[in-house]
Amino acid sequence: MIEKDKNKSDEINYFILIAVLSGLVLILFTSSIFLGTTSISIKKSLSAVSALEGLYLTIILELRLPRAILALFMGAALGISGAALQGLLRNPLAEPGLIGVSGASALGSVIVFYTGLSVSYSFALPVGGMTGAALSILLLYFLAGKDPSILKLILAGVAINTLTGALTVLALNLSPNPYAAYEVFFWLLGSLENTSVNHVFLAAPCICVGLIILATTGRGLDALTLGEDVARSLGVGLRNLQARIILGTALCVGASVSVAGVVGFVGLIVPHLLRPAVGHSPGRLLIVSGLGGATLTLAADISVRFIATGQGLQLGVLTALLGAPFFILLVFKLREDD
Amino acid sequence: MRPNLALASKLILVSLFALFVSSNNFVLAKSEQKIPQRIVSTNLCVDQLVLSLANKEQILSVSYLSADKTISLFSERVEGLQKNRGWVEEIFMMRPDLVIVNEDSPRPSLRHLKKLGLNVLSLRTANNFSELKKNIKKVSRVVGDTGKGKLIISNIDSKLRLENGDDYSPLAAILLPRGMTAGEGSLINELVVSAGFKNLAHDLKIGRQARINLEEILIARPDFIITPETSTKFPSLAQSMLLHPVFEETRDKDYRWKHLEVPERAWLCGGLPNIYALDLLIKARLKFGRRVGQHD
Repeated sequence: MIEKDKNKSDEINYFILIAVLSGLVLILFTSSIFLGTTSISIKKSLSAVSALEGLYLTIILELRLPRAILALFMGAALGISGAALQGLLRNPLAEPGLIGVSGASALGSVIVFYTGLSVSYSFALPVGGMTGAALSILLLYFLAGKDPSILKLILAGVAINTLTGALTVLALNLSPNPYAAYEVFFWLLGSLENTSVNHVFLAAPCICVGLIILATTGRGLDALTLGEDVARSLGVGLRNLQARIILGTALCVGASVSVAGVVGFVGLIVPHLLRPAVGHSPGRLLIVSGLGGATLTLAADISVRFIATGQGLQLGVLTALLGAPFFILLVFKLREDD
Repeated sequence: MRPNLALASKLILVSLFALFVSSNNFVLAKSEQKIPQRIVSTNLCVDQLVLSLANKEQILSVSYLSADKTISLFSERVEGLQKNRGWVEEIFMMRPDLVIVNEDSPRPSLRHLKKLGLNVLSLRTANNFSELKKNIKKVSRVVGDTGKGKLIISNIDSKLRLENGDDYSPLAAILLPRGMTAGEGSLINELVVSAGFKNLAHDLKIGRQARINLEEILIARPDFIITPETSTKFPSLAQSMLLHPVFEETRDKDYRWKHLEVPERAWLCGGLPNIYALDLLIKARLKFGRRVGQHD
C-alpha cells in the first residue's frame, strides 16, 4: 500500500517536473525571440507579427526564430543523448562531448563542408555529422568494451576527442581557406549566431527522429539498471537497445553539431542535476533531460548575446565554463564513492 | 727624431689608405643599398607596394598570397618569381639585399632577420591615406625612385578631390567575412568614407574591426550594404555569412538598400588597387544620389 502511494507520488512529481520544465522552455523560447542585441519592444514585435509585415517581422522570422528553434532542438538533442548514453553505459560521465561523439560529428561535418560536398548537396552536411557520430560510438565500444569502467570510458573518450580534434584542425589546415583559423574556433566551440532557416530545415527533421528513437528506450534502460541478465529475462534485447541508442544519438548529436558546432557539457550538467528529481530512473531521466537541455541551451544562447565582448562570445565557451565545475564536482563525488 | 718622423708619416699614410678603402667601401655599400637587386617581400600588402613601385627585375621573391587573384592585383605579374611563406630560414637562404616586411604581421620575426644581418625595411599597415602615402614614399626611396610612387599618390589625390560636390552621404553598412565590419581607423572605412558614404559602424560606435550583428544592420535601414565579392573557389563559413537568406528576403521586399560588392583585392591593402575601389564606390554613390534626387 505504502509502496503504491510512493509510486503514485513519484508519478505526480515526474509530471510536475515535466510541466515546470516545459513552462521554462516556453518562456525562454519566447524570450529568445524578443530579446536580441537590438532591442525590439514587445509591443513592436507583437504589432509586427500581427500585421504580418515590416522589417521587424523579417528579423524575427529570418534571424531570431531559426536561432531559437535550433537552440531548442539542439539542447533537447544533447540533453537526451547524454541521459541515454549514461543509461546505456551505466556511467555518469558518458557525455557526447566528453566521450568524443561531438568531436567526431564535427570532423564529419568539416570533411563534408570543406570538400564542397555540402554546396552541391546541402543534406550532406548533417549526414556527415551523423556518420561521424555513429562511427565514434562504435569506436568507443571497440576501445572501452560494452560495460566500461569510468577510467576506460574516459580514456577512450580522450583518445577519440584528441584524434578527431587533430583531424578537424588538419582538414581545415589543408583547405585553401584564409579564414580557417576562425573556423576551427566555430567547430570546436559551437555557436548559433547567424543561423538561418536553411539550417533548421537541415537539422531539425533528423533531430526529431533521433529524439523519438531515444525517448522510446526508457523501459530498456530501466531494466538495464538491474543488470544485463535480468534485463534479458525481462524481454529487453540488449543488442536492439544498443542499436537504437547509437542510432538516436548519432541522429541527435550529428545533426546538431553539423549546423552549430560542438556545444559541450549540456549532456553532462542536465542529467546530473535532474537525476535525483526522477528517483535515479534512467528511463524517466530521458524526457526531462531533453527538456532540461533545451532550457539550458536557450538560456545560454540568450546570455551570450548580452555578455559584451567585441568579438562575440561563442555558445560553446559559455557551456564549457558552466560545465567544467560540474565535471570537477563529479570527479570529487566519484572519489568519495570509492 | 728622424725615426719618429718616419713612423708618423707611415702611420698617416696607412690611416689615409684605410680611410680611402673604407670610404670606397662606403660608397660601394651606399650604391648597392640605393638600388637593391634582390628584394624579398614577405607580406601581401607589402608585395603590392613593391610590385607597383620597383622594377620586376629587382624583385626576387614575394609572399605566396600575391599569386591569388582574388586578393592580389598583381597575380599575373608575380609569375616566375619565387613565392615565400615568411619563414626566416627560407628568406635567409635567398640571400636578399633587401627584405621588406610588415611590422604588424607575426611572420617573419623582424628580430631574427636583423640578427642575421639582413637589410630590413619594416612597414606598418596603412590604415588611412596619409599612412599609405608615407609607405609609398618609404618604399620608393629604398627601391630606387622611379617616379611611380608620385604617380600613384597623385592619382589617389585626384580621385579624392573628384568626389566632392554632392551633399548627400548615403548610410553604408560594411559587412566582411566572419560577420565583421570595418570602423574608424581601418583602410576600408577610409575608402568608404572618402567616397562620400556614412559608415554605420561609426553610428554604432564600433571600433576598427569588430563583429556586427545582422540585426543591427537591418534595423539601421542602410542605403547600402557593402561586402567583398564572395568567391566560390572554396566553401567557408566566414563567407557563408554574406549569403544569409535574410538578405535575399529583404531585397525582395524592396527595402531601399542596395548591395555593393567590392573585389577584395581592391581594398584589402593600401596602394594602387585603392584607386579602383574609390572609383567603384564613388560611382555607386553618385548613381544613388541621382536616384534620390529624382524622387524628390
